[in-house]
Amino acid sequence: MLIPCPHCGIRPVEEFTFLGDARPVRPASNDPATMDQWFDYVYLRDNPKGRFDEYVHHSGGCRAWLVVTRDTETHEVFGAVTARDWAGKRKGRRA
Amino acid sequence: MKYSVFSLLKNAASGHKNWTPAWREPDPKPEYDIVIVGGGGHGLSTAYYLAKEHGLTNVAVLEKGWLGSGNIGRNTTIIRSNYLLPGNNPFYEWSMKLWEGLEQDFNFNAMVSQRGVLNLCHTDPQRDAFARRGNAMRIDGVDAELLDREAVREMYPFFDYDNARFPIKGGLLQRRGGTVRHDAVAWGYARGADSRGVDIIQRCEVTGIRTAKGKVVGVDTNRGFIKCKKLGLAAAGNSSEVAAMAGMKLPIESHVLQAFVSEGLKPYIDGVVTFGAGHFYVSQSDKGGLVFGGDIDGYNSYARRGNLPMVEHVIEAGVAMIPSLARVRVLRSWGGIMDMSMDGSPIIDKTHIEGLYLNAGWCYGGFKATPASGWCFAHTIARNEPHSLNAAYRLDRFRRGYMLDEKGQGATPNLH
Amino acid sequence: MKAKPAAEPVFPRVSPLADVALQGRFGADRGAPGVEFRVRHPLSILTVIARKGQSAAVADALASLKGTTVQWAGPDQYFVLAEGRGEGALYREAKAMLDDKASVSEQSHGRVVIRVAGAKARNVLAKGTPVDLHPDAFPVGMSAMTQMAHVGVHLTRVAEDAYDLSVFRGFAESLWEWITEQAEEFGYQVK
Ligand SMILES: Cc1cc2nc3c(=O)[nH]c(=O)nc-3n(C[C@H](O)[C@H](O)[C@H](O)COP(=O)(O)OP(=O)(O)OC[C@H]3O[C@@H](n4cnc5c(N)ncnc54)[C@H](O)[C@@H]3O)c2cc1C
Ligand SMILES: [Zn+2]
Repeated sequence: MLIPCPHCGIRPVEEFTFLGDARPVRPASNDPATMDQWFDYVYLRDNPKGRFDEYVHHSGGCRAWLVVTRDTETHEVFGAVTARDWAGKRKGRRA
Repeated sequence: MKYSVFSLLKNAASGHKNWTPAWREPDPKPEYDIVIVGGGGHGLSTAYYLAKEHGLTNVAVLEKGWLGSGNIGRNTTIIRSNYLLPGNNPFYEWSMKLWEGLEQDFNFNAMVSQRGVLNLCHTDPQRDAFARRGNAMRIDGVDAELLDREAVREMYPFFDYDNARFPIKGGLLQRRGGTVRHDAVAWGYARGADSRGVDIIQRCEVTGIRTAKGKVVGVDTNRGFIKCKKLGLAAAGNSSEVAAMAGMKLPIESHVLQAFVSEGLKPYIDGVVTFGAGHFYVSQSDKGGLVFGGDIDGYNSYARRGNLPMVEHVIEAGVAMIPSLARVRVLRSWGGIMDMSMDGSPIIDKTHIEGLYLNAGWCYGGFKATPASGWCFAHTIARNEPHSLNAAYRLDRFRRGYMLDEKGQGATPNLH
Repeated sequence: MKAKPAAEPVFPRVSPLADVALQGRFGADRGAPGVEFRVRHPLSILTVIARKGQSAAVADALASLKGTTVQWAGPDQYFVLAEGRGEGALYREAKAMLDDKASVSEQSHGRVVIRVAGAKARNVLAKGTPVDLHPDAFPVGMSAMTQMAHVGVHLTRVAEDAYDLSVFRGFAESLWEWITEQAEEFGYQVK
C-alpha cells in the first residue's frame, strides 16, 4: 500500500500508523443522558467492506494526522487529506 | 462409517475405493429449527454439540465457501489455556479438556499434539508478568511452569540467549498446550454433526436476515429463503457484515493476520515457542515445515492478504530469536480476516432480537477455542441462556463496563 | 522574597558518534571512495514549530536569522542549523525573535547530523528510504522526513552530491552501523 501524504508525497505503508475509522463523531456533551452516543462512539464500528475513511498518522514521516480513503477489500488507496482539512470539511457539512 | 484400524484394513484390501464421503451434500430444506451461519470451526462445532449434547438435529450450517476456507483452515493451529483473567481461564481450560478427548469423541484423527507452548521473556518486568499469569492459571487449575534461562536452554539450545538487545531470561511453559491439525478439526466436527442429522450446506451465502416483531424468522441465501426458529451467527471475520443484516452494529473491526510456512526440515523445534520482544511465534508441522506468524498488520482489512512490512517484522524477530532461521526458505504466506473486538475477548451471547445468537470477536486466538466455543454457543442457543463458562462473554459488557481486556489496551482493536 | 535564578549551567555538546565514527578509509579499497561521511559536530540545532496562523511570519523571520540553514521538518515546522555558536546561543536568539509566533526547542544535544557525500551517496541512501532521490524530485535544498533501517531520519540534499542525515542521538550508533555497512561496496572515507 502506498499512501499519498499531502505533506511528503507518496510513501509506503510502513511509515504510517493506523488509528481506525474516521467517521464516528465525538459527542459534544458530557451529560450522562448522552451515554448511548458515547457508547456508540467508543465501542461500535460500521466496519465496512469496501470504501473506508480512516485516521492515519504519518509516524515515520512528517508526523501529521491524515484521513486516508481506502478500500478495505482490495487495499486500493483513493487519496489522503490532512485531518485538519477533513475536520474542516466535516464541520462545513454539518453546518 | 466408523473409522478404526479395522475399517482401515478393510478398505486397504479393496484398494481404498469404497470409502464413503465424510459428510453428505444435501440441498437446503425450506425450514430448520436452527440455522448456523458460517461453516468454520465454531459453526461446525456448534452444530455438533447441538446434536450431541442437546439432541437438536433439525439444524443446518450454511457456509458461503467450502468447509475450511475461512480462518479454521488458515490459522497456525496453536492451542493453549494460558490466560490471566478469571473470565477467560475456565473457558479456555474447558476447551483444552475437550481437545484432550476430542479424537475419541468424534472418531476422527485431528492430530491433537500437546507438545507444549513456551512464551519467552526478555526482561525482569516481563518475568514478573509471567509469574503473575502462571499463578492465575494455577489458581484456575491450569498447568503452568515458570522456567529460568537454563531450563529454556535445555529445551532449545539453539536460541540466541545473549542477543544484545533481546537476551532470553526465561519463559512461561504450558506443557498441555500444543497444536492440532486445523482443517481436520473442521472435517471431524462436520462429519460428527452430519452423521447425527445436521445438514451442512456449502456454497450457500446468507444475504439477508428476516425478522418479524422482534423475532428471527429466517435467512435469505443465494439458494433461496430458509425459514428458522433460531439463528446463530458464527461468521468470524465477516461478523459485522452478517450482523448488519439484522440491523446490528458490533464492537468489532476486521483486520488481517498473516502466517507463513517454510520448506520441510528435519525435526528442529519440538514445541510452540513465542518471542517476547517482537511479534513472532513458531512451531514445526509433522510434515517438517516451520509454521510461523506474528501480529495483525494493523489496518482494517477484508483482503485475506497482508503487506510486506509485517513480513519483514516477523522474519526479523524470528532471526533475532533463532539465528539459524536465517537460512530457512519460506514456501508460502497467506492471510485471514480477524474479528478484532474492542477488548480483545470474544462474544458468545443472545441478542436483543429473539432467536438471534451471536458468536464473534475471536481476534487471532479463536482456533484453540473451537471446542468450547461450539459447546457454549450450543448451550446458549438450546437453553436461550449463556452457560457459566461464557458468562463473561456477554455482548452488553461494553455498555456495562465489564470489559475483559487481557492486555489492558482499551477500545483499540488493532492493539489487542 | 524571590531568589535570583542561578546562572543556567552549561553542558558542552558530546557527539554520540565520538567513539564510533572512526576516521579512515573502509570497505572496498580500489579507486576513490564512493562515499564520504562526516559527523557535523558541534552543531547548533533547533526545532521551530509555528503557532496557528503564523506560518508565513515564522518563515520570514527565520530567513532573517544570519548564518543559519533552515530546513523544512514537517508542516509548519523547521530545523534551524548553525555552526560555530556557543552553547544555547542560537536558541536564545531564535527564542527572543519568535517568542509569540512559534515554539522553539533546543535540539543541539538531542540530534546528530551526518553529512553523506560523494558519487555514490545517493545509492547508499536509496537503499534505506522510499523517497525518490532523483534531482528532479529531490532537488538541492529539499528535505524529507522518512525512515532508514526502522530509524526516523531527516534528510536534506545540500548539494548535487551531498546530503545531511539528521537523527536522534539515541539512534545514531545503530544508524551509523547500518549506513556504513551499506557503503562498504563502494568504499567509504570517514572524515
Ligand atoms: C493466520 C492466522 C493464524 C491464526 N493462528 C491461530 C492460532 O495459532 N491459535 C488460535 O487459537 N487461533 C488462531 N487464529 C484465529 C482462528 O483461526 C480464528 O479465531 C477462528 O478460526 C475463527 O472461527 P471460525 O473457525 O469459525 O472462523 P472461519 O473458519 O473464518 O469461519 C467463518 C465462516 O463464515 C463464513 N461466512 C461468512 N459470511 C458468511 C455468509 N454471509 N454466509 C455464509 N457463510 C458466511 C466464512 O466463509 C467462513 O467459512 C489464527 C487466524 C489466522 C488468520
Ligand atoms: Zn507526511
